[in-house]
Parts: sequence; structure tokens; C-alpha cells
Amino acid sequence: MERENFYLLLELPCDPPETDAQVIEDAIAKKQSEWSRLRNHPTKGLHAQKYINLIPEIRRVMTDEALRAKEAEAAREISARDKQDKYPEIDRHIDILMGKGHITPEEVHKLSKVHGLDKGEIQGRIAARKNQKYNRVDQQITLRMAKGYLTESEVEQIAKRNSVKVEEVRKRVRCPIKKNNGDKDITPPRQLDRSLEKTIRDNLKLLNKSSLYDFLGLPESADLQTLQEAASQKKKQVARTSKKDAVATANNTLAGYCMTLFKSNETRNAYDVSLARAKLAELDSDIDIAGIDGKIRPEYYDILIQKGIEFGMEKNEAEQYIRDYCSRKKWSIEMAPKKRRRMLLTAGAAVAAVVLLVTAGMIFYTIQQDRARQADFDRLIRRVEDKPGPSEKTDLLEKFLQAHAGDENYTRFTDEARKRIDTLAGRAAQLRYAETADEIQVLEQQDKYEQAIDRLNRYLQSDPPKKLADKAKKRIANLEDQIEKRVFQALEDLMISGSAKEKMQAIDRYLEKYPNGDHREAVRGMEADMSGEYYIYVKNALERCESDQDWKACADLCRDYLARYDNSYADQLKDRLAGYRKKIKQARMLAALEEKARQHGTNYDRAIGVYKDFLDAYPDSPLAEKVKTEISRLREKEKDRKAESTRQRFRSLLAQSNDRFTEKRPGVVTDSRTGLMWQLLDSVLAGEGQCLTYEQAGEYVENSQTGGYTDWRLPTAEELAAIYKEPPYFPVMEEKWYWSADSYSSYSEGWRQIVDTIDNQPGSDWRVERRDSKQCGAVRAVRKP
Amino acid sequence: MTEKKIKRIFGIDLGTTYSSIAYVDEYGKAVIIPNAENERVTPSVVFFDENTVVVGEVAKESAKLYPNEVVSFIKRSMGEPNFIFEYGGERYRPEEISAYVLKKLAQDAQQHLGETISDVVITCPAYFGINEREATRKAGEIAGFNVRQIINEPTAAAIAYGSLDTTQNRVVLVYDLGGGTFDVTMIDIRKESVEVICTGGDHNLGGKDWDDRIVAYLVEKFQEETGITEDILDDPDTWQDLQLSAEKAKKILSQRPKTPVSITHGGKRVKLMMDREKFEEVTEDLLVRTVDFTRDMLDAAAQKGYSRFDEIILVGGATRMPQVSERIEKEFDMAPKVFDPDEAVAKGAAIYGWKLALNDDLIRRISEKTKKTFDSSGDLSEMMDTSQITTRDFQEAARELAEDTGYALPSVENAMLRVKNVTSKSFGVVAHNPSGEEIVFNLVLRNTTVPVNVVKKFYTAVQNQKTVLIRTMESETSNIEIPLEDATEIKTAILHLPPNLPADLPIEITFDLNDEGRLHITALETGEYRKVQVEVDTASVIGGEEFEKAKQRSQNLVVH
Repeated sequence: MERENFYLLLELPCDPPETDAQVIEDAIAKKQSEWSRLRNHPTKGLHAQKYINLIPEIRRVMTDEALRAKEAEAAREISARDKQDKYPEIDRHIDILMGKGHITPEEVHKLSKVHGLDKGEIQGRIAARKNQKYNRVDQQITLRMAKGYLTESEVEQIAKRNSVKVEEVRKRVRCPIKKNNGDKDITPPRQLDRSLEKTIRDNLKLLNKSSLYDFLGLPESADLQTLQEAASQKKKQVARTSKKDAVATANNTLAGYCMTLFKSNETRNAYDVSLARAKLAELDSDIDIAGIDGKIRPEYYDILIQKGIEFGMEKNEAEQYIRDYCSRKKWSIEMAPKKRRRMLLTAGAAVAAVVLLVTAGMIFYTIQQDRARQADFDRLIRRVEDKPGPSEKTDLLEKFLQAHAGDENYTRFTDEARKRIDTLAGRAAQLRYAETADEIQVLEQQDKYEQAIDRLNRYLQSDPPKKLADKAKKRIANLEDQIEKRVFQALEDLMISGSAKEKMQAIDRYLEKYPNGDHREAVRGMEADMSGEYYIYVKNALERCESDQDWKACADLCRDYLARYDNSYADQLKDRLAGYRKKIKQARMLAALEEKARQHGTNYDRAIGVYKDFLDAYPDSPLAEKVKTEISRLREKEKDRKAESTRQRFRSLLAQSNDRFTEKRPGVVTDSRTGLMWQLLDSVLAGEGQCLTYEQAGEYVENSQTGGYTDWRLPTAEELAAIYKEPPYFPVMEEKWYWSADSYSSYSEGWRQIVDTIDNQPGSDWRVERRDSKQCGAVRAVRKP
Repeated sequence: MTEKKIKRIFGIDLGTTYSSIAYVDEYGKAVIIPNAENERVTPSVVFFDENTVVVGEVAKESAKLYPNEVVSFIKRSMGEPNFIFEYGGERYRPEEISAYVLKKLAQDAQQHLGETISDVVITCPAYFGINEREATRKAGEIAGFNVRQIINEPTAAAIAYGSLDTTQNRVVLVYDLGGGTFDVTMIDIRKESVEVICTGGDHNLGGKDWDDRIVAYLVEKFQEETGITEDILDDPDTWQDLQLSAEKAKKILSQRPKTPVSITHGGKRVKLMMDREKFEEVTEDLLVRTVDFTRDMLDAAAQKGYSRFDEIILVGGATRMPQVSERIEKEFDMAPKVFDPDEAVAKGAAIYGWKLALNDDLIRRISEKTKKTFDSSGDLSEMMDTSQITTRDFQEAARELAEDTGYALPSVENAMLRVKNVTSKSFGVVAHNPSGEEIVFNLVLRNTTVPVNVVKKFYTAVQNQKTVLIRTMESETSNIEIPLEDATEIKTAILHLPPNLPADLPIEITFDLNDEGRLHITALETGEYRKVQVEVDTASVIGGEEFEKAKQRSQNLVVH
């Protein structure tokens, strides 16, 4: 079952979500107190109890950053969905109001208030409704049952409308069917008390169930006996769980209702009718809307009656229902006496005064043209235009300037000439620039931004006019932006597919290269967004370097993260960093110790002495474990030496067995009498003097690889007896007993395993001893060649 | 020198809606002590009135005016860790609020009798689990009492019933429908013992549910009449007002066929007649549930070899509703006896307390006489069974006691009465099944006679293991292994192991359910047989500093 969203439950804002721990805790405390007060409320008590029990969970979720974020997201989704869920109801209300042909702004305003939506949204809905057809055939049967019975003609009508067989409809009708309306034989079933309906509904709501049928998991067409059995089954099932919470109580209550209501056809019908009546509540809400201003307009009244009929009522029943409802609400119903047409004289204030302001401007123009001067200049221009190159054109113009320098009458023409010179100079540079630009365009199309920049730089070296130089510089900047953008896009792509490490490296590269790049903020955002992901990477990387014991790498990783983020992960890493620093220090110390121990060469006792001195001096050192491992490693070496000497002793004893036992491979003894191969050393001698339980014995032979064989096994009792109880005996260095392969189970306070064992004392008078598998013994492994 | 008077132990029925206190008078008869308002029962309602706390009828009446300062039905929240009542910036747990009810009872009784009350026996529904019982005991302690024992309400009722006529052995079905809880219990009453066979019921089914149904009905009617669609119960004043009206209506409908009820809300007033038929209609399913629980309990009893019973007795105020007797008679073909429904429990508790007191006194006398020391709260009959005490010593002491106090000798000898109880819930620990899933392994099945102790071995997993965590669970089924979700976690016990234990060492854990149904856990490591420190987390029940604070607060408080 879906649980409540905690943001919504605590009435905390979810968009943007409230994250202040104190505010959240206050909200929880407030709700806890509120729910505790409602704990014994006659109708809300169950919900309150459920919420009270949720408090630990609420606290857990709302104090965990990640869970809380998820919760906020879910809350936003739910809020959005709730809005969606509202639409059908809004649509129905719109349909009613549209019955008169249009909807007034006041009505829009009221609708927006009733549904808590803004007016724009309502208006959008109105537009959508105009094109949509209202689907009204659904659930016709159920709705018509609301009055307690169906008429034969209704059944036929429904069948016809929905193109199904009459029999099919009849089968589904769970109330009496009257032959016709005059039929008095059938009295409608007794109706369920409304307060019972409500209690049932409340309890169902708590369990997210729509009806008692849904509660039992049965279809509404299930027969009475099935329902009874299911109800009793449910009750037993509910009784099995010991939970004292609201859900259990609701289950109990509903099971009780099922047992009561599904006892007879009569009570069941009452419930069915009540279910149908719940649907009528929709009609009530429609009436509420129609009576939004305290009275029912005639247009609405007709529509409501129509609705009532759709809900399965006869026309007069519908009228009665609506009238009763309104009289309870003290609303008046305006009947349509005559066609009352209200002419609304909207005197449109026609402001048709178009003022055209025609301003007569006074234009004075004095043309004092010196035609001669003009002609002179015109000639010059023609000549200039005839010249092919810009430099020649410039020369002519320069000459003109020199000739008329300081002549006021020529000012107009000299100015013009100067302008032309400038234009010509500009044009030349522009030409060069245009050439460059063409090249650049090609390069740009090929995405060769770097080469394009080179080219522009070369152009700049040619000392172009400032304006063009600026243009080129701007172009360079532009191209650099392109490159930056390209890098950024690559980075964005990487963000989708790359590993955390790659991403972070790319981010670093970007930020290093473009400390002022356009996407700097976005990239910083990416970096910030990666706080969690990168933490996971760092954590995994830490695991690797920890297992490699590369503490420096570990410390670097932590430092790297800390340099980037200051969050709760960073706090965790701070602690770890401190740990690594210690480890680094320790590693140095250990290296020094090892060096000192190495100087003693194969003199293991002296080397052990070095470590022991250290342990004596610093018994609580964190290095103690490592030092101890080192000591035990050296001891192992010492032990190997000793084991070898044990083997030597065994070999000398084997020599006394008259060639019965021979060591053909190192550590493997062959019994010439039986052909079986035995391990020279038993588990105790081979394994640091430790004894083994039966289970460990099994593992021991399983893992044994003496002589390169892997098929070692536990010997049977007979096989063991053959080497220890029949001379010449297998050599014995100390007294012990051996596990055999023969085991039994025995029941005593649970299962126990008993195993046959044989001791190694030479002698023909012997017997098997049974021991508990938890005892500690020895293994002499055997194999068949 | 032997004292003439024996120490009194009082019996308290701490009910969901009403509470009462009783003691055994000098004639050996159990009597209810009326409160300062001269009522024999006191509403379990607490009203926080600025610096004072008011309990009882006045508090109940205040609910209409000050709905947010009044707490009712607190018993339903006993053992609920997250229930908090907030008043004046202070937070109160259910134990503390219950303590105020207890204080009121004791205070008024002290005034009436002119003697201080220190030792009490408090009752709780048979159906209470381990935590609820613990919470009830704590409530008594916060109120400043020496809580001698928590006993089951049906058991108390049976003791009171049995004390009327001790000559006949019989098996009695106690149908206890109180204000907030429903218990049905089969009890074997004999001359020398009261033995519970089986018990069952529902923690959330009681007279209040009948009230709530009336409230819902009234709300519906009000909406119908006025056309108001808002939920009028959102208004705390209306809620409290209707709650009281509903209770009154229920009481009247238990006497008469119909009653007028008026509902006032938001300046509107609706008057209507409610008849018994309607009342029965809207509450029938509740009654069906009690019958169903009774049948389940009878099935369980049959499995223990009790397939028949001699009588049905009805206790608890809600059994006054005529439909209860009618239904029971119809279902079980036996006319039930309505037995002192409001007072039987408190009286039974008082009788039980008196027997404890006699027991103490007899032990003291025998100890003085024989110059032997005994456990002062030990069980006399047990001591005689194990021959620590001779029958002669006992008879002499009993005779002396009867002479000194004026009690009749036979009733003194009745101090030997044995009360045997069963657990109402199964109790177990979280374990792993062979496929590695967490399950609950029940150690004690419900309807097992208490006290009982179960020893279970846990093995240390690793060398030098420091702690063992044991999650204890309560459930309703009689299966040994049940899924985790069918049980409720009641306590977590942490064993702090001594250092340097080897791996795979058995730790012997003893789970003791005492005769009150309270759980004790002790543990022993089997290497050197040292005791293991057990720390039990009792978040569900008030404890630690909170408990001390509540005690302090209660001491400084005068209840009116």
C-alpha cells in the first residue's frame, strides 16, 4: 500500500523543498501533538493513530538528505497529479454552467475558488470541454441501482444503448427488477444507515480500497456464500497479525462489516444500493455548483434534472431529489415562467474621434548652389571613378584637397573628398579582411577553429585599421568561444556517459583552460552536482587504494574531494584523511622496523626480538596487528624448519616397518599391504598443533594437496585400524585419535552428529569410539592410487 | 510484638473511560471507596487547568468548553511510544496522564479512609501485551505507589465472583466489554485456585466504539437537516459535545426504547429522536466481532481440553446494553449473568491485594515463630508444597492472625488461593530460517500458563564478540515460526558480553515471563558462567530521565 507523502503530511513546502532541520523537526512535533489529540476522535481517530505510528519513519526519512530529496520530488509529483485528478469534476461543473450557452467571468471566478485553480487554467479547461463529448454510459447499471431497484425497461434500455444482451445486464443487476413502475410487489431494500456508509468509507479509504468487495478481493458479482467465506477468512487473517496499528484496526472493523453485511441477500442489497448512492454524491456536488449564488437558475435546473435522469432516476424522482436537496440548503429554485430575455444594453462607448494631426511643417530651403564649383567637383568624381585602383583614386582626391585647402567655399567638397579617401582606404583593408574572412569561413565550416584563429592572428600582424582589427579580434574571441562551447558540449556528452573520474578530469581541464569561460557557471554546477557521484567514485577508489595499502593515494583522493566540496561527505572524508595520515606515518615506521629485522638474516629469533621489543614498548600501537603478523610469519618460517625435522623423524621410524610403509613421494606414505596412500604428517603435526572438529576435518581433507594429489579423503574406520592395529604399525609420535569417514546423526535437543574414531595406539585389541562431531580431533588423510 | 493490623493493599481498576478503587474492609468484604464527589466510579479524564490538574467528572464536563486541554481514553494509547499530549509547552506521555488518574483515586480514598495508600494492585485487560503492562506499572510508580502486582481484569472479576461462593468448582466464561477494550476469558474457578485457561479479545473494541457510531450517526443527521456539508467534527467543541451526548444517549437507550438528542454547531441546532433499533443497526457489526472473538477463544480452549463451560458472566460497563446479553444468549444458548459490571474488577483486585497482604503477614508470623527467614513476598502454598513451612505452623499463624484482626479464620486460610494466569500473546525472538530469511521464532505461545521461563542458547559468531542483539516480538498466532511482518517488536535487548570469549560459545539466555506477564531477560555465558549484562531498550514505555522527571512532576502536583 502506498504510504502518505511526508512533505504533504507535514504540510511543508515541497517546491522548493523545505530542508531546514529545525523547521522540519518543529513541523513533526506540531503534528505529533495534533495527531495525539485526535487519537480518540470518533471519525478521525484511526487516521491519527496511523500517523502517530508513522512518526519514527517520518523522522528517519526527513532527516536523511537523500531520502528527503526523494520525498520532496514525490510530493511535487503528487501535487501535479492531484491537479489532474480534479479535472473530471471541474469538467462536469463546466458542462453544467455551459448549459446556458456561455460562462460568465463571475462563474469562472467562483469555479477557480471552488477548485483552488487559477482562472487561466479554468478557462483552458472550458475551451477543451467544448470539443469533448461527455461519456455518460459508464456504470449505468450501478447508478440506476441507487433508487433501490431497476425497471425492466431500464434494463432493456441499458442493453440497447451499450449493445449487450438483456440477459447479460440482468445477470449483473444485484437488486430487484420491477416489471414496470406500477409494480408494487417489490419494496426497495432497506437502506444502509448513512453513518455506517461513512464509517465503511473512512475505513476503506485508510486501506486504499474502493469497496468491501475490493477489500475482500472479490468481484461485485461474487455470490453470497463466496463473500461470507472470504469475510471469515479475512477476519482470521487479520487476527493473525498482531499489529496494534490503525491498519489492523481498520481491517478488523471492515471484516466485521463484511461478516454482518454479507450475511443475507437483503443486507447485501442494502450495501450495494449504498455503493450506488455514493455515486449520487456526484450529483450533489453538481447541485452545489449550480447553487453557487444561493439559487438555482432555470437553465441549471433543467440540466440538473437531466443529470438526475442520467444517474438513473425518473424525471419526477430527479425533480424531487433536487428540490429536497435545495430546500435543505435553503436555496430557491427559479422556474422559467416565460421566455425572459434580458437585453443587456451595453452602450459601447464608441470613441471614434480620430484626431489627425496634420502638422504643416515649414520647410525652408535655400539653395545657393554654385553651379561651377559643383560641376568642377562632379568632373573630379567622374575621373576618380574611371581610375581602376584605389590608390590612384586616392591620389586624385588628395590633389584636389591640396588645391583647395583652406578655401571656405569648397568646404562642402573637400569634406566630401576626405570622406571618399577614408572610404577608399577602408575598402582596401576590407578587401583584405574579406579574403581572410572567406578563408576563415571555410575553416569554420570544417570546425578547424584553431587554424582559423591562427589565420586571424596573421591578419592582425598586417596592421589593419582599428575597426577591422577589432572585428578580427572579436572574431577570434568568437572562435575561442566556439572552441570553449565545443569543449563544453563534449563535457556535457561526457556527463551522460563518462565515468566519475573522467568527468571530473574533464571538468578540471575545462576550468583550468577557461577560468572565465561562458559555461564556467554551468561547469561549476556540474561539479557541484557531482558531489554524490564523485564521492562514490572516491569511496570506491579509496577501497582500491586501501586494499593496495597505498595510503598516499588515498590521502590525495580525500584531499582532492575536500578541495572541491564542503558537505557531509567531505566531513566523512576528513575523518578518513586523518586515518590515512596516521597510516602513512605508521607505514614509515613499519618500514624502518622491517629494515632493522632484515639485518638479522635467517636468525628468525633475533628478528622476532626486534618486533617484540617494539611491541613491549608500544603495546597499544596501531601497528601492533601488523607487527604481530610479521612475528607470526617469522614463526611460520621457524615452524617449517621444525616440521621438516618432524618429517625426518617419521622417516627414520618408517624405516622400521619392514618396508610395509615407504615414502615414495615427499610427504606421502604408501602401504604396500593395502596399496593405500597416507599422508606422512597428520593434521595436528601439519597444522600448528591445532585439533579439528569433524566439520573442519572435512574441510582439511578437501583442501589438502600433499604430494600434488587433490583427492585426499577421510579414511574409514577399517582403513585406520589396518595401519594402527595390524603390525607392522604405522609409526606413532604421540598418542591421539583420528576421525573416520563413518558418521551418524542423532537427535537430542536438535540434530547432532556422531562419528566413529580410532586411536593410534598399536595393538590388536581395539574398538571404535563414537564421538560428537563438535569434539576436537586429528585427521590422517588417505587416498587410493 | 505482633502488630494488630495488617498493611492494606488496594485494588485499582484503571479503565479506559472509568476507574475505581476498592479495599477489603475489616469484615473481609471488598468495598468500593467513593471519590470526593461521592461517586463510586471516576471518569478517566484529565483536564489541564493552568497549574492544576483536574481528574474525573469535572474534567469530563470541561471537555466541552476546553476540548484542547482535556485528555480522555488515554488507556488506548498505553504502550504507544509516539503518543504525546502537549500542554503549556510540556509534553506528557500516556503513563504520566494515567498516573494522574491513579493519583486522584488514591487521594480521594485517603481522605475518605484517613490512611495513606502506598501499596496497590492495578488491573489491565488480559489482552494487554508486554509493553502495555509495563506502561501500566510505570503509571502506578509515577503516581508514587508501590505497585505490588498488575493483574488481568477478567481474572480480577473472576476472583470477585468466586469469592461469593467458594464451595463449587466451575468453568466460567468472562465476557468483559469495557469502555475501550474487549476481553473474553475462560477461567476455571476452584476452591483453592483461580486458573485462566484461555484468553482472547481486541485492544480496540469497547463502549467507546458504540459511542463513536452514535456520533457518526448524529453528524450525518445534522448534515441532512441543515444542509451543511462541512465536517462538524473538525470543531473540537462540537466533537467533545457530541462525544458526551453520544455516551448519554447510549446509556439511555440501554434503559429505554428511545431518546431525544440535540446537536448544536455553528449556531444551528438540530433535535432528533434516536431509537434503540437504529442504535443496534449502526453497531451490529461491533457485536458480531465480540461473538467471533469468543468463538475463536472457545476453539483455543477446546484444544487445551476445555470443551464446555458452566456459566457466562458479563463484566464491564458496556455489557449493560441489552443487545449484548440478548446476543450472547442467542449465540451460546445460555443466559449470561450480568455481574456487578462497574465494580467487579476493582473489588477483585482488592481481594487479590488483601490475599497478598495476608500472605505477607502470615509469612512474617511464621518467620518470627520458627526463627527462620523467608522471602517476605514468597508464596505460602509453594512454601508448604516444598515443606519449608509445616501445616501446623501455618494453621497456628492463621489462627493468631484471625484473632488479632478479627477476620474470619476460613477467609484467612483462603490467602492460600492460587491464581494461575496465561499469556494473551505469543512471544518470541527474531531468528533466521534455513534459507536465511528473518522470521519470528516463538518461544512462548499464547495461552501458556505463566510464570514461565524459556532458556535459549545463542552462539557467539566470532571470537571476542562484544554484543548480542536480541529482538523480542509479540504476536497473536500459536505457530512456532511466523513471518516477521505478523509480529510487533516490543523490546530490543542488548547483551554486553565479557571480553575474550571464544567463538561458538553458547550464551544461555533466559526469558522470564512472570505471573504479571512482564518480561525479564537474563543471560549467562557458559565459558566461565559469568552473568551477562542485559540492556533492554524500552522506547515504547516511559523510562530513564523521562520517567524520573514525570515522577518528580507528579509529586509536585495536586490533583483535583
